Order: sequence, then structure tokens, then C-alpha cells
Amino acid sequence: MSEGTKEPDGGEEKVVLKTHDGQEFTVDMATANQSGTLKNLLSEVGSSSNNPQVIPLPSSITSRVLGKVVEYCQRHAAGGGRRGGMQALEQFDEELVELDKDMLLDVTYAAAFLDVPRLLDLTSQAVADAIKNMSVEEVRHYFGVVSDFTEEEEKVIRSECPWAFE
Amino acid sequence: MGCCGGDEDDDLVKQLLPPDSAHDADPSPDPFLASSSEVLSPMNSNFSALASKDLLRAILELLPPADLARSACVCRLWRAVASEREMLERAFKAPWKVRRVLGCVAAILLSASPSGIPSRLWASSD
Repeated sequence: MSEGTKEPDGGEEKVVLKTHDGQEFTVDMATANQSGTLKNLLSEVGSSSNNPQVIPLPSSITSRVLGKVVEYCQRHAAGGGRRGGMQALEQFDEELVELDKDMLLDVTYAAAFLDVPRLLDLTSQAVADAIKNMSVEEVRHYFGVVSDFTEEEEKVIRSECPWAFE
Repeated sequence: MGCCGGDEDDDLVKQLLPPDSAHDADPSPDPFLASSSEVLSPMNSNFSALASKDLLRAILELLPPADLARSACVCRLWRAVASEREMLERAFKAPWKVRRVLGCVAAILLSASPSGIPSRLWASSD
């Protein structure tokens, strides 16, 4: 991950995000502020380049997942004014959510936890698109959800909504 | 959703009781929901994303009506979220471009789905 633990350059405020698996991501404030959660936190504790705040993250957000979120936040902190304008930014968004389902769901969770609303919109839409037109069994299989309806209930559902299982 | 573990016996008892007994406390029209409204499914999913109602809501609210209806058949948690009046209204309003939805949305929604109307599962029991 290129945005790993590199030295903060000249004076700018930085913050270090530390994942449960021990990786550190040093990001500038503009990037961190894309996350509502971090923004709130940092407005209270502050951070500086000499003594950057280290924020530990829960184990559910692995370094691979955080890498994606940081990538998104960095790109969006820079806005559409860089690297080809809004069109390039939209394309970046599109490509960012082309993930396998585990990654996609983990990034969705991270976006919600870190409160990055537009990233959450992107990933939620990608998940919704993935399950469109799936049968109930396919959805269960896709997400690894085991039905917790009783046998009886399952029978009723199947008899009353047969189309949902086709 | 603060109840994880501990109350399993109570929940079991609740599920064994006839749905009517739970009705006083819970206005939910769906007897299946009434028996488990605040109980998290033993979500056997590996994904933390799907164990949270808020996140599930964020995803399911983007689905068209037929897919939302299908989601309600996946498991208890999905059913609870997919059956929320706001979810149903949203799904119903978008494709038909209506401003307000009156009456039992679930019944209307399902009547618009691919084949027959599994109304008993959705419509209010009165």
C-alpha cells in the first residue's frame, strides 16, 4: 500500500489510522475529514504533524479494506479539480466498487463505520445491483445467510411466494 | 438491538406462543415478525455488514419492489427490515411516481409482484 507509513511531508496536519492487524496509514486532514467519524473525533482531540494522533480501528476493518477507504477519501479530498475533473472522479468511483463480494461488503461496513456517506452509497448500490433478480436461495447462498425461519414458516413462505424461489 | 445472547430461552418461549399473544405489545401486522421483532437473527452470515439493521436498510432500500419482496423471504432479520413501512413506501413510490401511499403498503406492493399475491404474509391480519 503506497499510502502506508510514509513520513509526513512538511508541516501539514496528519493523522495515523492503525488497523487491528498492525498496519498504519498516515493521511492528511483533508483525507481524514471525508470521514464523519474521524472528523468528529479529530475536532475534539486535534492532531499535528510532529505528534500525529493515532486512531486505532476495530478488527472488522482490515488493512486491505482500509486501503480502499483511504484511496477513496484521498481521491475525493482532492476533488474533481485534479487528474481529469469530475468525469475521471466518476470513473474512479465506478472502478473502486468493482470488488469481490467479501471485499465489497467489508468496505460497505467500513464506509458506514467511518461515516463516509457517498462511499456507502456507492457500495450499497453495488451490493443491491448484485442481488437484483436473485432468487431467495441465491441470495442466501451469496451472503452465507442461513434461514432462521422455522420449518413451518419456511413452508408457508414457499407456498405463498413460490415466485421468490424461482 | 442490544440483545445478543442471554435471552435465548425467553425468545424461544416467545416463538412458541401463539402470535396473538405478542400482538398487544407489537403492532407489527406480520405474526412472524411479532414473535421476533427485537431479536437479531442468529445471522449465520460472515459479513458484519449484514448483521446490522441500518446497513441492511441502506442496501435493501435500493431494491425495486419485486426484489424487496424476495428479500423478505431470506431470514427473520431481512424480513423485519424489508417489511418496514418506510421501506415498502419507498419501493412503491419510486417506480409509480406517486407522492403518498395510503393503506396497507405491503398488500399493494405484493400485488404488483411477478405472480400471485402472497397477501397473508404481508397484509394486516384483521
